[in-house]
Amino acid sequence: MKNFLITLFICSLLCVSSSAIASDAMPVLKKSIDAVINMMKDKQKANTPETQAIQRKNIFNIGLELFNFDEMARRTLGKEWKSLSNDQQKQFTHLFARFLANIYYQRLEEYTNETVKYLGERQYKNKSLVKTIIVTQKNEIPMDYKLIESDQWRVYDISIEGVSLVRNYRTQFNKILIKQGIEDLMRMMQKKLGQFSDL
Amino acid sequence: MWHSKAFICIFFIIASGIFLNDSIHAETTDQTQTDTQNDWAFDDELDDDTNATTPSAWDPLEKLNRYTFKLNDKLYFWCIKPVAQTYKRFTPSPVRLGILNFFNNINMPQRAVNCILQIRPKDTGTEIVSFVVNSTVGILGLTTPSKTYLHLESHEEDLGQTLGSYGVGNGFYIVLPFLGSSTLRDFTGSFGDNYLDPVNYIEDPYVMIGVSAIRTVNTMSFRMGEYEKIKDMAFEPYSAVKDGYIQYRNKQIEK
Repeated sequence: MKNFLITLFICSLLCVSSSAIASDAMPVLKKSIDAVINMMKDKQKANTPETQAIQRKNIFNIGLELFNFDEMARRTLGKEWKSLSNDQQKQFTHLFARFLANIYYQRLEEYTNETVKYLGERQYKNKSLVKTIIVTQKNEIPMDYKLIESDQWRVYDISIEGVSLVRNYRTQFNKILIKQGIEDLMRMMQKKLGQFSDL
Repeated sequence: MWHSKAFICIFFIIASGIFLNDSIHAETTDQTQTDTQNDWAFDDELDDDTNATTPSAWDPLEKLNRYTFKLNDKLYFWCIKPVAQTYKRFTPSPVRLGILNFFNNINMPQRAVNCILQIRPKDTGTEIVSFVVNSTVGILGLTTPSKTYLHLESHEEDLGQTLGSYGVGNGFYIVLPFLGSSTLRDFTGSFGDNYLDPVNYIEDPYVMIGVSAIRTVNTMSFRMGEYEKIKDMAFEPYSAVKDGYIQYRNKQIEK
């Protein structure tokens, strides 16, 4: 009987801890991704410039829920971040967020009934890594999300087939910052964004 | 032709010996990084913030590489892309897929040998079983029953990865004309892999070149638009491609 109670106690402990781990970042991520997928299905319907503008706005709003753009911007600039003035930091974050949202938006056109498989997550303190696979008609693309918890779980980096987005942009931005400087970089971003720089 | 290839191969092995000393230095930082990543210590990323210049690869040939990169860019838009697009337009996709599967299938020796070299008996077995099944039931490898029915996953293995798994560092980054991104290690490895490529054993040189061309164009027809996307997303395409290649390869080796 005593043994039984002990096992029961341990089991209940395990249950509690496992549910505590399982119920964190993944559901939040899943919710946002589902919202994006639903939007992609709508994409085919949106043809007029007005509906497209609404969609663009919606995507950005989902993006704000899904991504921690402050964290992303800070990480992409790496150690250069500190050398920026407060205004520059704000402006850079603003531009980078819109740049990412815009890429996301452009990629929507290519949506052809891909599905997302959730493989699992590992958590460490306030950070979490969720592994997923995007199943397309042709192949499967591994996609890892790194999340950080502030007020809620948000993504601060995505790795596609092992290539981290933050790290890739950091390499590029470092090069530009060394050669040119932050003002030039932001001008480049504005140019790339074109009319969408103030969403 | 083989003599000259062998010569270049030897040259690069010698060169890698010379450069290895330098690359070890760069590699150790890389190594610790992947180790901590394995431990799920995300704090590594945090540290990354403050002192990150994270040199993704040593690039002493940067000037030449950038030049070759530009050349490849032009080659892609002026030559490879139009050819592959025309080919894609006139070739039904089942045919293209069949050809892709066929070449994948006959490339089994490269994958199997590298699995052996990496001491992965199970994956070696998978490769051989897949080859046998696909070559027979799969009609000369045109289809992939190994994947659809037996759920066997093939592993893209090459000598560059094998060397990487032995702890050989990237050496330095190279952009090859026509072939694109590589590193000293991967480029050296590709010479070994060439010996395992059945296409290179076709005796008539014209047939061999023809077959290689079909393989290249066919493969490219599946990858249309990829390069454009990368370029479109990038602020500094050269650095983007370089870092992407290095990260991708590191991940492949880690697996």
